Amino acid sequence: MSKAECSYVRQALTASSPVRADGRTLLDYRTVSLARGIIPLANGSARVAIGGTEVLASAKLEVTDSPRASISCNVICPGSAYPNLAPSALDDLAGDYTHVLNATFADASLIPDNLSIIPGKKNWALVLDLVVFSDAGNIYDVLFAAARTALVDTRVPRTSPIEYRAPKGASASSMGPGLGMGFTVKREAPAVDFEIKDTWDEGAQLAGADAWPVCVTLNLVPTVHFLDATLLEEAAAPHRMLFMFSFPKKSEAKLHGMRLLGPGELSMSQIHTLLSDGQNYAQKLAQALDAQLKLQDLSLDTTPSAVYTLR
Amino acid sequence: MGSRIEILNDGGLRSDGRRQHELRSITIQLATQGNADGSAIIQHGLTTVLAVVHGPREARLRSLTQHDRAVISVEVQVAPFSQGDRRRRGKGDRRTQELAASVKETFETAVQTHLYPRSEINIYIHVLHQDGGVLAACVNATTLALINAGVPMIDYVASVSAGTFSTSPLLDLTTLEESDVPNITLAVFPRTGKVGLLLMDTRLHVERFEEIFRLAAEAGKVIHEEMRVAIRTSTAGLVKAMGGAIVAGPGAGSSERATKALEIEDEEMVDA
Repeated sequence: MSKAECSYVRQALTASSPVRADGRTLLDYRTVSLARGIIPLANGSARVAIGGTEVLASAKLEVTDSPRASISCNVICPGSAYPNLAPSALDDLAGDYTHVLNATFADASLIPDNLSIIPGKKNWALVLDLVVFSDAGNIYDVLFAAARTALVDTRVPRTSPIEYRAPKGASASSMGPGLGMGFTVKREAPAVDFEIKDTWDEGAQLAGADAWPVCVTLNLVPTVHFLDATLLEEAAAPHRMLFMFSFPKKSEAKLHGMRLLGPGELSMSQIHTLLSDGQNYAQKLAQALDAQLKLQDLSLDTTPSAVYTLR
Repeated sequence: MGSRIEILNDGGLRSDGRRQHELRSITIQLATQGNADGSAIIQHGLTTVLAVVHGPREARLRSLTQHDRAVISVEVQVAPFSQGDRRRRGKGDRRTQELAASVKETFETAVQTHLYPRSEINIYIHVLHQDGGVLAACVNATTLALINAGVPMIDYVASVSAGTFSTSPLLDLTTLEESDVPNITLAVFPRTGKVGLLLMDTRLHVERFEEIFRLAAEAGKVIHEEMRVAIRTSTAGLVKAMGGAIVAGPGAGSSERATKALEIEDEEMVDA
Protein backbone atom coordinates (compact mmCIF):
# COMPACT_ATOMS: atom_id res chain seq x y z
CA MET A 1 0.00 0.00 0.00
CA SER A 2 1.90 3.00 -1.24
CA LYS A 3 1.66 6.49 0.22
CA ALA A 4 0.28 7.75 -3.07
CA GLU A 5 -2.57 5.21 -2.95
CA CYS A 6 -3.36 6.03 0.66
CA SER A 7 -3.47 9.75 0.08
CA TYR A 8 -5.56 9.21 -3.05
CA VAL A 9 -8.17 7.30 -1.08
CA ARG A 10 -8.14 9.73 1.85
CA GLN A 11 -8.50 12.76 -0.37
CA ALA A 12 -11.46 11.21 -2.14
CA LEU A 13 -13.13 10.49 1.21
CA THR A 14 -12.60 13.92 2.69
CA ALA A 15 -13.55 15.83 -0.47
CA SER A 16 -16.63 18.04 -0.44
CA SER A 17 -18.53 15.45 -2.46
CA PRO A 18 -16.95 12.22 -1.24
CA VAL A 19 -16.17 9.44 -3.71
CA ARG A 20 -15.46 5.81 -2.96
CA ALA A 21 -13.92 3.32 -5.38
CA ASP A 22 -17.11 1.32 -5.84
CA GLY A 23 -19.38 4.34 -6.04
CA ARG A 24 -20.97 3.93 -2.59
CA THR A 25 -21.75 6.84 -0.33
CA LEU A 26 -19.90 7.15 2.97
CA LEU A 27 -22.63 5.37 4.89
CA ASP A 28 -23.56 2.63 2.41
CA TYR A 29 -23.04 -1.01 3.22
CA ARG A 30 -22.23 -3.54 0.54
CA THR A 31 -24.67 -6.35 -0.14
CA VAL A 32 -25.49 -8.25 3.04
CA SER A 33 -26.38 -11.89 2.57
CA LEU A 34 -27.29 -14.27 5.31
CA ALA A 35 -28.12 -17.94 5.65
CA ARG A 36 -29.07 -19.72 8.84
CA GLY A 37 -29.34 -23.31 9.97
CA ILE A 38 -26.83 -24.52 7.43
CA ILE A 39 -24.85 -26.93 9.59
CA PRO A 40 -27.11 -29.82 10.56
CA LEU A 41 -24.84 -31.12 13.33
CA ALA A 42 -24.64 -27.80 15.15
CA ASN A 43 -27.28 -26.46 17.53
CA GLY A 44 -27.25 -23.19 15.65
CA SER A 45 -25.37 -21.92 12.62
CA ALA A 46 -25.20 -19.03 10.23
CA ARG A 47 -23.23 -17.74 7.30
CA VAL A 48 -23.07 -14.00 6.78
CA ALA A 49 -21.38 -12.15 3.95
CA ILE A 50 -21.05 -8.40 3.57
CA GLY A 51 -19.53 -7.70 0.17
CA GLY A 52 -16.66 -10.15 -0.18
CA THR A 53 -16.18 -10.76 3.54
CA GLU A 54 -17.68 -14.08 4.54
CA VAL A 55 -17.85 -15.72 7.96
CA LEU A 56 -19.40 -19.05 8.96
CA ALA A 57 -20.51 -19.38 12.59
CA SER A 58 -21.61 -22.51 14.41
CA ALA A 59 -22.97 -22.78 17.93
CA LYS A 60 -22.59 -26.05 19.82
CA LEU A 61 -23.95 -26.82 23.25
CA GLU A 62 -21.96 -28.94 25.67
CA VAL A 63 -22.94 -30.01 29.16
CA THR A 64 -20.74 -28.68 31.97
CA ASP A 65 -20.75 -29.30 35.68
CA SER A 66 -19.91 -25.69 36.41
CA PRO A 67 -22.44 -23.75 38.50
CA ARG A 68 -23.19 -21.31 35.69
CA ALA A 69 -23.89 -21.47 31.99
CA SER A 70 -21.35 -19.82 29.72
CA ILE A 71 -20.84 -18.57 26.20
CA SER A 72 -17.39 -18.63 24.62
CA CYS A 73 -16.24 -17.69 21.16
CA ASN A 74 -13.45 -19.02 19.03
CA VAL A 75 -12.39 -17.47 15.71
CA ILE A 76 -10.43 -19.41 13.11
CA CYS A 77 -8.50 -17.50 10.45
CA PRO A 78 -7.44 -20.06 7.84
CA GLY A 79 -4.68 -19.45 5.33
CA SER A 80 -7.22 -19.49 2.49
CA ALA A 81 -8.77 -16.24 3.73
CA TYR A 82 -5.43 -14.54 4.28
CA PRO A 83 -3.12 -16.01 1.65
CA ASN A 84 -0.37 -13.47 2.24
CA LEU A 85 0.05 -13.91 5.97
CA ALA A 86 2.49 -16.17 7.78
CA PRO A 87 0.97 -18.82 10.09
CA SER A 88 2.06 -16.96 13.21
CA ALA A 89 0.42 -13.79 11.95
CA LEU A 90 -2.76 -15.80 11.33
CA ASP A 91 -2.75 -17.04 14.91
CA ASP A 92 -2.28 -13.50 16.20
CA LEU A 93 -5.15 -12.25 14.09
CA ALA A 94 -7.43 -15.07 15.20
CA GLY A 95 -6.46 -14.36 18.79
CA ASP A 96 -7.35 -10.67 18.41
CA TYR A 97 -10.77 -11.39 16.92
CA THR A 98 -11.46 -14.08 19.53
CA HIS A 99 -10.59 -11.67 22.30
CA VAL A 100 -12.89 -8.93 21.01
CA LEU A 101 -15.81 -11.33 20.56
CA ASN A 102 -15.33 -12.96 23.94
CA ALA A 103 -15.13 -9.60 25.67
CA THR A 104 -18.66 -8.87 24.45
CA PHE A 105 -20.41 -12.25 24.33
CA ALA A 106 -18.99 -13.93 27.39
CA ASP A 107 -20.51 -11.30 29.65
CA ALA A 108 -22.77 -12.71 32.32
CA SER A 109 -25.61 -10.30 31.60
CA LEU A 110 -26.08 -11.78 28.13
CA ILE A 111 -26.47 -15.38 29.18
CA PRO A 112 -30.03 -16.48 28.48
CA ASP A 113 -32.20 -18.28 31.05
CA ASN A 114 -32.77 -21.51 29.22
CA LEU A 115 -29.09 -22.41 29.20
CA SER A 116 -29.33 -23.94 32.65
CA ILE A 117 -30.27 -27.59 33.00
CA ILE A 118 -30.16 -28.15 36.75
CA PRO A 119 -29.55 -24.79 38.42
CA GLY A 120 -26.21 -24.76 40.15
CA LYS A 121 -25.25 -28.26 39.08
CA LYS A 122 -25.45 -28.77 35.35
CA ASN A 123 -25.53 -26.16 32.66
CA TRP A 124 -25.07 -25.77 28.96
CA ALA A 125 -21.85 -24.21 27.78
CA LEU A 126 -22.35 -22.64 24.39
CA VAL A 127 -19.29 -22.62 22.16
CA LEU A 128 -19.34 -20.38 19.11
CA ASP A 129 -16.89 -21.32 16.37
CA LEU A 130 -16.41 -18.74 13.65
CA VAL A 131 -14.49 -19.50 10.47
CA VAL A 132 -13.44 -16.59 8.27
CA PHE A 133 -13.79 -17.75 4.68
CA SER A 134 -12.69 -14.51 3.08
CA ASP A 135 -11.86 -11.02 4.28
CA ALA A 136 -12.56 -8.06 2.01
CA GLY A 137 -12.69 -5.50 4.78
CA ASN A 138 -15.03 -4.75 7.71
CA ILE A 139 -14.39 -8.10 9.34
CA TYR A 140 -15.64 -7.10 12.81
CA ASP A 141 -19.12 -6.23 11.61
CA VAL A 142 -19.38 -9.55 9.81
CA LEU A 143 -18.01 -11.55 12.75
CA PHE A 144 -20.55 -10.05 15.11
CA ALA A 145 -23.38 -10.43 12.61
CA ALA A 146 -22.51 -14.10 12.09
CA ALA A 147 -22.24 -14.74 15.83
CA ARG A 148 -25.53 -12.98 16.47
CA THR A 149 -27.34 -14.87 13.72
CA ALA A 150 -25.98 -18.22 14.88
CA LEU A 151 -27.14 -17.45 18.41
CA VAL A 152 -30.61 -16.51 17.22
CA ASP A 153 -30.68 -19.75 15.22
CA THR A 154 -29.63 -21.88 18.21
CA ARG A 155 -32.07 -24.36 19.63
CA VAL A 156 -31.55 -25.76 23.12
CA PRO A 157 -32.61 -29.40 23.66
CA ARG A 158 -35.43 -29.70 26.19
CA THR A 159 -34.33 -31.45 29.35
CA SER A 160 -36.07 -32.61 32.49
CA PRO A 161 -34.25 -33.24 35.77
CA ILE A 162 -34.18 -36.70 37.33
CA GLU A 163 -33.87 -37.28 41.03
CA TYR A 164 -32.65 -40.49 42.61
CA ARG A 165 -34.20 -41.29 45.99
CA ALA A 166 -32.96 -43.94 48.41
CA PRO A 167 -35.71 -46.49 49.23
CA LYS A 168 -37.67 -45.83 52.49
CA GLY A 169 -36.37 -47.45 55.71
CA ALA A 170 -32.75 -47.27 54.79
CA SER A 171 -32.37 -43.66 55.91
CA ALA A 172 -30.69 -44.05 59.31
CA SER A 173 -28.48 -47.04 58.59
CA SER A 174 -27.31 -45.58 55.31
CA MET A 175 -25.72 -42.72 57.15
CA GLY A 176 -23.21 -44.99 58.78
CA PRO A 177 -22.64 -46.23 62.33
CA GLY A 178 -22.61 -43.74 65.15
CA LEU A 179 -24.49 -41.15 63.24
CA GLY A 180 -27.86 -42.41 64.39
CA MET A 181 -27.07 -41.24 67.93
CA GLY A 182 -28.86 -37.98 67.86
CA PHE A 183 -26.43 -35.87 65.87
CA THR A 184 -28.06 -33.53 63.40
CA VAL A 185 -26.39 -34.14 60.12
CA LYS A 186 -27.05 -31.93 57.13
CA ARG A 187 -28.92 -33.99 54.59
CA GLU A 188 -27.17 -34.13 51.28
CA ALA A 189 -29.33 -33.30 48.29
CA PRO A 190 -30.38 -36.36 46.32
CA ALA A 191 -28.17 -37.18 43.33
CA VAL A 192 -29.28 -35.21 40.31
CA ASP A 193 -29.15 -35.96 36.66
CA PHE A 194 -31.17 -34.97 33.67
CA GLU A 195 -32.55 -36.54 30.57
CA ILE A 196 -33.20 -35.14 27.16
CA LYS A 197 -36.90 -35.37 26.62
CA ASP A 198 -36.85 -36.16 22.93
CA THR A 199 -33.68 -36.81 20.97
CA TRP A 200 -35.39 -36.00 17.69
CA ASP A 201 -36.74 -32.67 18.85
CA GLU A 202 -34.33 -29.84 18.11
CA GLY A 203 -35.46 -27.99 21.19
CA ALA A 204 -36.59 -24.56 22.20
CA GLN A 205 -35.16 -21.41 20.71
CA LEU A 206 -32.40 -19.85 22.77
CA ALA A 207 -33.91 -17.12 24.91
CA GLY A 208 -32.97 -13.47 24.63
CA ALA A 209 -32.83 -13.39 20.84
CA ASP A 210 -33.35 -9.65 20.78
CA ALA A 211 -30.56 -8.96 23.26
CA TRP A 212 -27.60 -9.99 21.12
CA PRO A 213 -25.34 -7.09 20.18
CA VAL A 214 -24.52 -5.97 16.68
CA CYS A 215 -21.21 -4.31 15.87
CA VAL A 216 -20.74 -1.29 13.67
CA THR A 217 -17.31 -0.03 12.64
CA LEU A 218 -16.88 3.67 12.03
CA ASN A 219 -13.72 4.30 10.04
CA LEU A 220 -12.23 7.67 10.88
CA VAL A 221 -10.52 10.17 8.63
CA PRO A 222 -9.84 13.73 9.83
CA THR A 223 -13.16 15.32 8.92
CA VAL A 224 -15.61 12.47 8.32
CA HIS A 225 -16.32 8.88 9.20
CA PHE A 226 -17.47 6.13 6.84
CA LEU A 227 -18.86 2.62 7.12
CA ASP A 228 -18.09 -0.76 5.64
CA ALA A 229 -14.56 -0.16 4.45
CA THR A 230 -12.91 -2.33 1.80
CA LEU A 231 -9.37 -3.58 2.40
CA LEU A 232 -7.88 -0.65 0.52
CA GLU A 233 -9.92 1.86 2.50
CA GLU A 234 -8.98 0.16 5.77
CA ALA A 235 -5.30 0.37 4.90
CA ALA A 236 -5.66 4.04 4.00
CA ALA A 237 -7.70 4.86 7.11
CA PRO A 238 -6.57 2.54 9.91
CA HIS A 239 -8.11 4.65 12.69
CA ARG A 240 -11.52 3.27 13.58
CA MET A 241 -14.08 2.98 16.34
CA LEU A 242 -16.13 -0.14 17.02
CA PHE A 243 -19.48 0.12 18.78
CA MET A 244 -21.46 -2.90 19.98
CA PHE A 245 -25.12 -2.03 20.48
CA SER A 246 -28.11 -4.15 21.23
CA PHE A 247 -31.75 -3.17 20.85
CA PRO A 248 -33.88 -5.29 23.18
CA LYS A 249 -37.61 -5.01 22.53
CA LYS A 250 -38.73 -4.15 26.03
CA SER A 251 -36.07 -1.62 26.99
CA GLU A 252 -33.86 1.07 25.54
CA ALA A 253 -30.76 0.45 23.47
CA LYS A 254 -27.75 -0.94 25.30
CA LEU A 255 -24.07 -0.34 24.63
CA HIS A 256 -22.07 -3.52 25.12
CA GLY A 257 -18.66 -2.35 24.13
CA MET A 258 -16.60 0.32 22.52
CA ARG A 259 -13.17 -0.09 21.01
CA LEU A 260 -10.85 2.44 19.43
CA LEU A 261 -8.37 0.83 17.06
CA GLY A 262 -5.47 2.19 15.10
CA PRO A 263 -3.28 5.24 15.38
CA GLY A 264 -5.02 8.48 16.20
CA GLU A 265 -6.82 10.30 18.97
CA LEU A 266 -10.28 11.67 19.56
CA SER A 267 -11.64 14.43 21.73
CA MET A 268 -14.50 13.72 24.12
CA SER A 269 -16.98 15.74 22.06
CA GLN A 270 -16.04 13.76 18.97
CA ILE A 271 -16.68 10.55 20.83
CA HIS A 272 -20.11 11.80 21.86
CA THR A 273 -21.06 12.52 18.24
CA LEU A 274 -19.69 9.20 17.06
CA LEU A 275 -21.62 7.41 19.78
CA SER A 276 -24.98 8.79 18.74
CA ASP A 277 -24.22 8.28 15.05
CA GLY A 278 -23.02 4.76 15.79
CA GLN A 279 -26.26 3.96 17.54
CA ASN A 280 -28.26 4.99 14.47
CA TYR A 281 -26.13 2.94 12.13
CA ALA A 282 -26.24 -0.06 14.45
CA GLN A 283 -30.00 0.14 14.63
CA LYS A 284 -30.29 0.16 10.85
CA LEU A 285 -27.88 -2.76 10.54
CA ALA A 286 -29.75 -4.73 13.20
CA GLN A 287 -33.04 -4.10 11.42
CA ALA A 288 -31.58 -5.23 8.09
CA LEU A 289 -30.20 -8.42 9.65
CA ASP A 290 -33.47 -9.15 11.42
CA ALA A 291 -35.42 -8.66 8.22
CA GLN A 292 -33.18 -11.15 6.41
CA LEU A 293 -33.52 -13.57 9.33
CA LYS A 294 -37.30 -13.46 9.09
CA LEU A 295 -37.10 -14.24 5.38
CA GLN A 296 -34.81 -17.19 6.06
CA ASP A 297 -37.16 -18.55 8.65
CA LEU A 298 -40.00 -18.70 6.20
CA SER A 299 -38.09 -20.38 3.41
CA LEU A 300 -36.94 -23.73 4.70
CA ASP A 301 -36.10 -24.86 1.22
CA THR A 302 -32.38 -25.43 1.55
CA THR A 303 -31.02 -28.30 -0.48
CA PRO A 304 -27.79 -29.81 0.85
CA SER A 305 -25.69 -28.42 -1.98
CA ALA A 306 -27.17 -24.95 -1.69
CA VAL A 307 -26.27 -24.43 1.92
CA TYR A 308 -22.54 -24.04 1.56
CA THR A 309 -22.58 -21.24 -0.96
CA LEU A 310 -24.31 -17.90 -0.75
CA ARG A 311 -25.36 -16.93 -4.25
CA MET B 1 -26.13 -55.11 21.70
CA GLY B 2 -29.54 -55.78 20.26
CA SER B 3 -29.80 -52.49 18.41
CA ARG B 4 -26.50 -52.81 16.54
CA ILE B 5 -26.77 -51.53 13.00
CA GLU B 6 -25.98 -54.09 10.33
CA ILE B 7 -23.26 -53.18 7.89
CA LEU B 8 -24.78 -55.38 5.20
CA ASN B 9 -28.11 -57.05 5.74
CA ASP B 10 -29.47 -60.20 4.18
CA GLY B 11 -31.16 -58.26 1.40
CA GLY B 12 -27.80 -56.86 0.29
CA LEU B 13 -28.53 -53.36 1.62
CA ARG B 14 -26.16 -51.29 3.72
CA SER B 15 -27.02 -49.17 6.74
CA ASP B 16 -27.87 -46.16 4.59
CA GLY B 17 -29.87 -48.15 2.05
CA ARG B 18 -27.20 -48.43 -0.60
CA ARG B 19 -26.14 -51.57 -2.39
CA GLN B 20 -22.64 -53.00 -1.97
CA HIS B 21 -21.07 -51.33 -4.97
CA GLU B 22 -23.14 -48.18 -4.92
CA LEU B 23 -21.46 -44.80 -4.46
CA ARG B 24 -23.03 -42.01 -2.48
CA SER B 25 -24.55 -39.08 -4.32
CA ILE B 26 -21.93 -36.62 -5.55
CA THR B 27 -22.50 -32.88 -5.63
CA ILE B 28 -19.87 -30.55 -7.07
CA GLN B 29 -19.74 -26.77 -6.96
CA LEU B 30 -16.94 -24.84 -8.61
CA ALA B 31 -15.53 -21.35 -8.02
CA THR B 32 -17.27 -20.83 -4.68
CA GLN B 33 -14.61 -18.49 -3.29
CA GLY B 34 -14.28 -15.40 -5.43
CA ASN B 35 -11.01 -14.22 -3.92
CA ALA B 36 -9.11 -17.44 -4.71
CA ASP B 37 -7.58 -18.57 -7.97
CA GLY B 38 -9.59 -21.77 -7.85
CA SER B 39 -12.02 -23.39 -5.45
CA ALA B 40 -14.40 -26.30 -5.33
CA ILE B 41 -16.75 -27.98 -2.91
CA ILE B 42 -17.46 -31.68 -3.26
CA GLN B 43 -20.02 -33.67 -1.32
CA HIS B 44 -20.01 -37.45 -1.16
CA GLY B 45 -23.27 -38.07 0.64
CA LEU B 46 -22.79 -36.03 3.82
CA THR B 47 -19.00 -35.70 3.67
CA THR B 48 -18.32 -32.14 2.55
CA VAL B 49 -14.90 -30.77 1.68
CA LEU B 50 -13.95 -27.32 0.36
CA ALA B 51 -10.62 -26.90 -1.43
CA VAL B 52 -9.16 -23.48 -2.21
CA VAL B 53 -6.14 -22.94 -4.46
CA HIS B 54 -3.93 -19.88 -4.55
CA GLY B 55 -1.23 -20.00 -7.15
CA PRO B 56 1.01 -20.53 -8.91
CA ARG B 57 2.38 -17.36 -7.40
CA GLU B 58 5.49 -15.87 -5.94
CA ALA B 59 6.49 -17.71 -2.80
CA ARG B 60 6.19 -15.96 0.52
CA LEU B 61 9.56 -17.29 1.63
CA ARG B 62 12.25 -17.41 -1.02
CA SER B 63 14.14 -20.01 0.96
CA LEU B 64 11.36 -22.56 0.42
CA THR B 65 11.37 -22.40 -3.37
CA GLN B 66 12.88 -24.89 -5.79
CA HIS B 67 14.89 -23.62 -8.77
CA ASP B 68 13.33 -25.96 -11.29
CA ARG B 69 9.76 -26.46 -10.14
CA ALA B 70 6.85 -25.11 -8.15
CA VAL B 71 6.46 -26.04 -4.51
CA ILE B 72 3.06 -27.35 -3.45
CA SER B 73 1.94 -26.66 0.09
CA VAL B 74 -1.19 -28.16 1.55
CA GLU B 75 -2.97 -26.96 4.66
CA VAL B 76 -5.92 -28.86 6.07
CA GLN B 77 -8.40 -27.21 8.39
CA VAL B 78 -10.89 -29.59 10.00
CA ALA B 79 -13.83 -27.50 11.16
CA PRO B 80 -14.79 -27.95 14.83
CA PHE B 81 -18.39 -28.50 13.75
CA SER B 82 -17.58 -31.21 11.22
CA GLN B 83 -18.32 -34.04 13.63
CA GLY B 84 -21.03 -34.76 16.15
CA ASP B 85 -18.83 -33.87 19.12
CA ARG B 86 -17.29 -30.49 18.86
CA ARG B 87 -13.56 -30.90 18.78
CA ARG B 88 -11.06 -28.20 18.03
CA ARG B 89 -8.19 -29.72 16.10
CA GLY B 90 -5.02 -27.67 16.16
CA LYS B 91 -2.68 -27.46 13.21
CA GLY B 92 -0.29 -29.91 14.76
CA ASP B 93 -2.90 -32.62 15.06
CA ARG B 94 -1.49 -35.89 13.76
CA ARG B 95 -4.51 -36.89 11.70
CA THR B 96 -4.69 -33.49 10.04
CA GLN B 97 -0.97 -33.58 9.25
CA GLU B 98 -1.30 -37.02 7.70
CA LEU B 99 -4.19 -35.85 5.55
CA ALA B 100 -2.17 -32.88 4.34
CA ALA B 101 0.93 -34.97 3.67
CA SER B 102 -1.03 -37.57 1.66
CA VAL B 103 -2.67 -34.92 -0.50
CA LYS B 104 0.65 -33.13 -1.06
CA GLU B 105 2.41 -36.28 -2.17
CA THR B 106 -0.38 -37.18 -4.57
CA PHE B 107 -0.47 -33.82 -6.25
CA GLU B 108 3.25 -33.40 -6.52
CA THR B 109 3.06 -36.10 -9.17
CA ALA B 110 -0.14 -34.90 -10.74
CA VAL B 111 0.61 -31.19 -11.15
CA GLN B 112 3.03 -30.17 -13.87
CA THR B 113 5.25 -28.28 -11.44
CA HIS B 114 8.17 -28.01 -13.86
CA LEU B 115 6.26 -25.29 -15.67
CA TYR B 116 6.48 -22.88 -12.72
CA PRO B 117 9.97 -22.79 -11.24
CA ARG B 118 10.58 -20.81 -8.06
CA SER B 119 6.89 -20.39 -7.38
CA GLU B 120 4.39 -21.74 -4.91
CA ILE B 121 1.00 -23.39 -5.23
CA ASN B 122 -0.99 -23.20 -1.98
CA ILE B 123 -3.83 -25.62 -1.44
CA TYR B 124 -6.12 -25.02 1.54
CA ILE B 125 -8.57 -27.75 2.41
CA HIS B 126 -11.53 -27.21 4.73
CA VAL B 127 -13.28 -30.31 5.98
CA LEU B 128 -16.79 -29.05 6.67
CA HIS B 129 -18.58 -32.28 7.47
CA GLN B 130 -17.14 -35.73 8.11
CA ASP B 131 -19.05 -38.86 7.29
CA GLY B 132 -16.40 -41.28 6.06
CA GLY B 133 -14.16 -41.09 2.99
CA VAL B 134 -12.64 -37.79 4.10
CA LEU B 135 -9.24 -38.31 2.44
CA ALA B 136 -10.92 -39.34 -0.81
CA ALA B 137 -13.12 -36.25 -0.73
CA CYS B 138 -10.07 -34.06 -0.02
CA VAL B 139 -8.26 -35.45 -3.06
CA ASN B 140 -11.29 -35.02 -5.32
CA ALA B 141 -11.95 -31.50 -4.11
CA THR B 142 -8.29 -30.58 -4.66
CA THR B 143 -8.38 -31.93 -8.22
CA LEU B 144 -11.42 -29.81 -9.00
CA ALA B 145 -10.00 -26.71 -7.36
CA LEU B 146 -6.71 -27.06 -9.25
CA ILE B 147 -8.55 -27.43 -12.55
CA ASN B 148 -10.74 -24.47 -11.66
CA ALA B 149 -7.58 -22.47 -10.99
CA GLY B 150 -6.19 -23.43 -14.37
CA VAL B 151 -3.15 -25.22 -12.95
CA PRO B 152 -1.87 -27.70 -15.55
CA MET B 153 -1.97 -31.33 -14.48
CA ILE B 154 -1.15 -34.60 -16.21
CA ASP B 155 -4.56 -36.05 -15.45
CA TYR B 156 -7.49 -35.85 -13.07
CA VAL B 157 -6.99 -37.56 -9.72
CA ALA B 158 -10.09 -39.50 -8.71
CA SER B 159 -10.27 -41.02 -5.28
CA VAL B 160 -12.61 -43.31 -3.37
CA SER B 161 -12.61 -45.39 -0.22
CA ALA B 162 -13.39 -49.11 -0.28
CA GLY B 163 -13.58 -51.86 2.26
CA THR B 164 -14.67 -55.41 2.76
CA PHE B 165 -17.26 -56.81 5.13
CA SER B 166 -16.07 -60.40 5.70
CA THR B 167 -16.05 -61.41 2.03
CA SER B 168 -18.26 -58.71 0.51
CA PRO B 169 -16.49 -55.67 -0.88
CA LEU B 170 -18.07 -52.28 -0.14
CA LEU B 171 -17.50 -48.96 -1.89
CA ASP B 172 -17.53 -45.39 -0.56
CA LEU B 173 -17.77 -45.98 3.15
CA THR B 174 -19.56 -43.90 5.74
CA THR B 175 -18.18 -43.25 9.24
CA LEU B 176 -20.10 -46.18 10.63
CA GLU B 177 -18.65 -48.55 8.05
CA GLU B 178 -15.12 -47.12 8.24
CA SER B 179 -14.90 -47.80 11.94
CA ASP B 180 -16.14 -51.35 11.52
CA VAL B 181 -14.57 -52.85 8.41
CA PRO B 182 -10.99 -52.94 7.04
CA ASN B 183 -10.72 -50.29 4.36
CA ILE B 184 -8.41 -48.61 1.87
CA THR B 185 -8.36 -45.22 0.19
CA LEU B 186 -7.27 -45.25 -3.43
CA ALA B 187 -6.56 -42.39 -5.83
CA VAL B 188 -6.07 -43.12 -9.52
CA PHE B 189 -5.19 -41.24 -12.65
CA PRO B 190 -8.20 -42.35 -14.70
CA ARG B 191 -6.79 -42.12 -18.23
CA THR B 192 -3.74 -44.24 -17.61
CA GLY B 193 -5.15 -46.25 -14.73
CA LYS B 194 -2.04 -45.49 -12.69
CA VAL B 195 -2.28 -45.24 -8.93
CA GLY B 196 -1.51 -41.92 -7.26
CA LEU B 197 -2.30 -42.79 -3.66
CA LEU B 198 -3.03 -45.97 -1.77
CA LEU B 199 -3.58 -45.82 1.95
CA MET B 200 -4.62 -48.45 4.44
CA ASP B 201 -4.69 -48.07 8.21
CA THR B 202 -6.46 -51.29 9.10
CA ARG B 203 -5.63 -54.96 8.79
CA LEU B 204 -6.88 -56.63 5.67
CA HIS B 205 -6.51 -60.24 4.55
CA VAL B 206 -4.23 -60.38 1.53
CA GLU B 207 -6.74 -62.43 -0.47
CA ARG B 208 -9.37 -59.72 -0.11
CA PHE B 209 -7.05 -56.96 -1.24
CA GLU B 210 -7.02 -57.50 -5.01
CA GLU B 211 -10.79 -57.55 -5.23
CA ILE B 212 -11.39 -54.28 -3.43
CA PHE B 213 -8.40 -52.68 -5.15
CA ARG B 214 -9.85 -53.39 -8.60
CA LEU B 215 -13.28 -52.28 -7.51
CA ALA B 216 -11.93 -49.01 -6.16
CA ALA B 217 -10.06 -48.39 -9.42
CA GLU B 218 -13.31 -48.87 -11.36
CA ALA B 219 -15.13 -46.54 -8.98
CA GLY B 220 -12.37 -43.99 -9.53
CA LYS B 221 -13.25 -43.95 -13.22
CA VAL B 222 -16.91 -43.31 -12.40
CA ILE B 223 -16.01 -40.43 -10.12
CA HIS B 224 -13.71 -39.08 -12.83
CA GLU B 225 -16.66 -38.99 -15.19
CA GLU B 226 -18.73 -37.02 -12.66
CA MET B 227 -15.93 -34.51 -12.19
CA ARG B 228 -15.46 -34.15 -15.92
CA VAL B 229 -19.15 -33.41 -16.45
CA ALA B 230 -19.09 -30.76 -13.74
CA ILE B 231 -16.00 -29.09 -15.18
CA ARG B 232 -17.36 -29.11 -18.72
CA THR B 233 -20.69 -27.66 -17.62
CA SER B 234 -19.05 -24.83 -15.75
CA THR B 235 -16.56 -24.15 -18.55
CA ALA B 236 -19.38 -24.17 -21.09
CA GLY B 237 -21.13 -21.54 -19.00
CA LEU B 238 -18.00 -19.39 -18.97
CA VAL B 239 -17.46 -19.80 -22.70
CA LYS B 240 -21.05 -18.83 -23.37
CA ALA B 241 -20.63 -15.72 -21.27
CA MET B 242 -17.39 -14.85 -23.01
CA GLY B 243 -18.59 -15.86 -26.47
CA GLY B 244 -21.40 -13.34 -26.26
CA ALA B 245 -18.88 -10.57 -25.58
CA ILE B 246 -16.16 -11.55 -28.05
CA VAL B 247 -18.19 -11.99 -31.20
CA ALA B 248 -20.35 -9.10 -32.39
CA GLY B 249 -20.82 -10.58 -35.86
CA PRO B 250 -22.54 -13.69 -37.20
CA GLY B 251 -23.76 -16.20 -34.64
CA ALA B 252 -22.10 -19.21 -36.33
CA GLY B 253 -18.67 -17.82 -35.43
CA SER B 254 -19.36 -17.80 -31.69
CA SER B 255 -20.62 -21.38 -31.50
CA GLU B 256 -17.58 -22.55 -33.46
CA ARG B 257 -15.36 -20.67 -31.07
CA ALA B 258 -17.24 -22.25 -28.17
CA THR B 259 -16.73 -25.80 -29.39
CA LYS B 260 -13.07 -25.07 -30.14
CA ALA B 261 -12.61 -23.82 -26.61
CA LEU B 262 -14.06 -27.04 -25.18
CA GLU B 263 -11.78 -29.11 -27.39
CA ILE B 264 -8.75 -27.15 -26.24
CA GLU B 265 -9.76 -27.83 -22.63
CA ASP B 266 -9.64 -31.55 -23.37
CA GLU B 267 -6.25 -31.30 -25.04
CA GLU B 268 -4.84 -29.41 -22.05
CA MET B 269 -4.87 -32.67 -20.12
CA VAL B 270 -1.83 -33.94 -21.99
CA ASP B 271 0.38 -36.68 -20.67
CA ALA B 272 3.55 -35.25 -19.23
